[in-house]
Amino acid sequence: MPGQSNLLIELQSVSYAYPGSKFPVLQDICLHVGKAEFISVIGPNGSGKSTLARLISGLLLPSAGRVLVDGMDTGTAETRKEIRRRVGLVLQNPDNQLVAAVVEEDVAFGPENLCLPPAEVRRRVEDAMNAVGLSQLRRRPPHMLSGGEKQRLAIAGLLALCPSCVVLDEPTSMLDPMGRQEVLQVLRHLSDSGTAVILITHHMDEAADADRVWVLGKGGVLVDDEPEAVFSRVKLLHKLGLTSTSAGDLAYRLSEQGLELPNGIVTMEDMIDYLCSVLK
Amino acid sequence: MQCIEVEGLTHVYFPGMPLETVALRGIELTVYDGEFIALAGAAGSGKSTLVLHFNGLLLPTAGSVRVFGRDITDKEYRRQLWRQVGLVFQFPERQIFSPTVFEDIAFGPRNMGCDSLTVNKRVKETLALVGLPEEIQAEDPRTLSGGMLRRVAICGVLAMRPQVLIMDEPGAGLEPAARQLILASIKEIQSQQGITVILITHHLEDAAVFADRVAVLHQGELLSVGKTGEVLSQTRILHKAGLKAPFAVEMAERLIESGIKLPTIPLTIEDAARLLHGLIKTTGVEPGGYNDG
Amino acid sequence: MMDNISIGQYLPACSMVHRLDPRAKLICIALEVPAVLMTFNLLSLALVSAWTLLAVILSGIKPRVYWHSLKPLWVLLLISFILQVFFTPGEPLIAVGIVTISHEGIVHSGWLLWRISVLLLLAAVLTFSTTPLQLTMALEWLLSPLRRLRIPVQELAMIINLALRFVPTLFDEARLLLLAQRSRGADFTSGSIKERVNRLVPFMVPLLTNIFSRADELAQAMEIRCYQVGAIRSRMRVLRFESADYAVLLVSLAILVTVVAMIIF
Repeated sequence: MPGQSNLLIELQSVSYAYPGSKFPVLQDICLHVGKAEFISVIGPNGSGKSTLARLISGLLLPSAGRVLVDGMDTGTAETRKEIRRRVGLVLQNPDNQLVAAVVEEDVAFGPENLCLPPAEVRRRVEDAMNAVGLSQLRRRPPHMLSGGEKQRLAIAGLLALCPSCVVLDEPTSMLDPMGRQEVLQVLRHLSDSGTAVILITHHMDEAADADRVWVLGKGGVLVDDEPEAVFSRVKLLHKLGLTSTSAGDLAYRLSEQGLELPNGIVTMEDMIDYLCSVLK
Repeated sequence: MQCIEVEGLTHVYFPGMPLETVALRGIELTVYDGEFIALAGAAGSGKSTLVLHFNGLLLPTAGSVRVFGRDITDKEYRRQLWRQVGLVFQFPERQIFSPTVFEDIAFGPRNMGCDSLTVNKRVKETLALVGLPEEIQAEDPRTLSGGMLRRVAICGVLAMRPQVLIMDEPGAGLEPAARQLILASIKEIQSQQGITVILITHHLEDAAVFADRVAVLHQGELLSVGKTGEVLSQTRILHKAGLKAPFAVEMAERLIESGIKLPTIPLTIEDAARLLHGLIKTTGVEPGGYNDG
Repeated sequence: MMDNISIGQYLPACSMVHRLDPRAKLICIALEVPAVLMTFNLLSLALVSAWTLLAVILSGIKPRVYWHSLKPLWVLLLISFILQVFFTPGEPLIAVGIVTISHEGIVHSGWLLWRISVLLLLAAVLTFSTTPLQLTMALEWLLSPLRRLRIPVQELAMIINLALRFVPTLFDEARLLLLAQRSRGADFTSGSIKERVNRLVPFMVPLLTNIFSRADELAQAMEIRCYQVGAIRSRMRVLRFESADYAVLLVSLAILVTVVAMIIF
């Protein structure tokens, strides 16, 4: 659990109901995000994952409770722009979030909105394109990029704002395995270099890569724990229509067949280690 | 019995332009009646372009495509092809246009000339096939959850009772249970009604569980085609195609590398569980004797 | 429709024409268009043609591409040429039945064909070599005096920019929808007008729905990236006239002046 000095985002008893709806999508959520933390969010369709992403990035305001970013309330009009700059959001469909017809011009959109001097804009664009590995493609029109490249471009567009946290709403669901891997590598790199990452995903193997996992369901956060702990709770995950990771599922099936397995087998490595120890 | 025969198929987009791209090059592929075949490949490998030929929406630049023995360049035949070959596009819910679920599913059957009794019957039956309740017919599609909406959209094609069903990533963007449900019901329709299913996917775990055969495409060329077990255990070819081998296959390979002998290569988690259970039981090491850390 | 590149498309290349200031290019076009329209003798026509040809060559894009992208328009032009030839009165050269071809007809329509071709080539050079954003920046600069009249020039430029950015995306969307509905037996081509309009519903409804949801996501994405309507934005690249820009502007102006002079004197 991050200490007070390490705290970046805090959700205090947050509830949200869409206008005109009596039933809240999210109810009484308490969560916190530390600096440079890598968190993944899983949950069935309709569990409020996207709503949560929009609450954290300040696009939606809670019906009750507060969302604090660096101590600033997302509901306060004066600090809204400051919060926007600090928390970025990447959406599922990369096509809908790219605004310019050339890669580098798209990356420049954010810093231009901040009205930074041209030299500073160019420096940030350079840095952001390098961070996601798109410098070679700077003159390309976005519709001629692959899915993975488009999502990396969307991330670069946010990095140019120098955010402290990037929220991604199922950024990989339209990508092929290579594209997914590209995006995940970029995210890992981001979190290593000090930016917090909140990744919403349907791919459990992706989610297991994070430092911490939030499981959403029934309008609330059901689990907030390390991947090893979350993906060992196979029964709960199945009840939600989710699965464990592939390794976690295999471990579960083996234990169902009467084998006694150690806890916390979640990744391929864990499984190989275990199998080597019993089969050699 | 062959159902689709592809010979030397080449398709070029924008011929003669700076954007000229060869989407398919010299494809040779036969799809057999009643089989479940997966077309695997990374984005841009030509999977989608290939299947657009199967119901006559695209014509070959070179080579030929025959469906049920007839060439798709025959204009009259091509215009009727949609009745036999159903195509579920990626994110099919984006094509829903009707105010009620019933209307949307009825669109295809009505275009085929079915009378209203038949249409009613078909809508009902199709909903049952994918595990949706009958009452959903009257609902407004916009009020449904992602997984339900996807199934409704798929029903729109299923209700036409195609002999060949092509599906482009039917589980994309859905939670694991919803995608399993969709694929399992398609598998059941295939085995019960004997239709041919062509599944486009880059998620080989699904191919491992459901497909009889797998074809791998890479940059417009056919890299490999064969029985699911044969193709999916060739990890080198899969990696070349930009795909990830199923978990069980990759794990088996790692185990073999570290000197553990396996009698077979498991394809699915279920296979792997069965195999490993047997192995652990016979090696005689007390499983409880394993100490963590 | 997908198998052709329209003249509105930007084609990346690293040519002299690509590097010119978009404002210079836009002004050149503004000068060249009246010059082309006013040509009346061979010398002036040769002058504007040569200047345009030079631009085509220096654009670094193969002549074949120009040929292909303008092909659909050539057909149209050719048809109008033939009609012109037949319907321009004058001294008959050949007469077959009621059809007469006059000397004036050929000259007149040849002239027209040539001038329109030059104009189309000019438009093609501009759009092939200039990104939509550069174009809108240039347009914004040219229109900036209108800000005094409280016309939101910056916002208009942004709207044009977004429209251009989304043309290929919406094109793909429309194509996919057409294919999808056709594969369910939708028929968009037969029946009476009323029937046809009804038959467009399965195409238009999802198209509009999808466009709205895209627009909604786009608005969110722009908001997240700190865009605010009415707020002053900076630019990554400040447009600056270089000597080459002045040179092409001068040449274009000289050509216009020459053409006008030939008319007057």
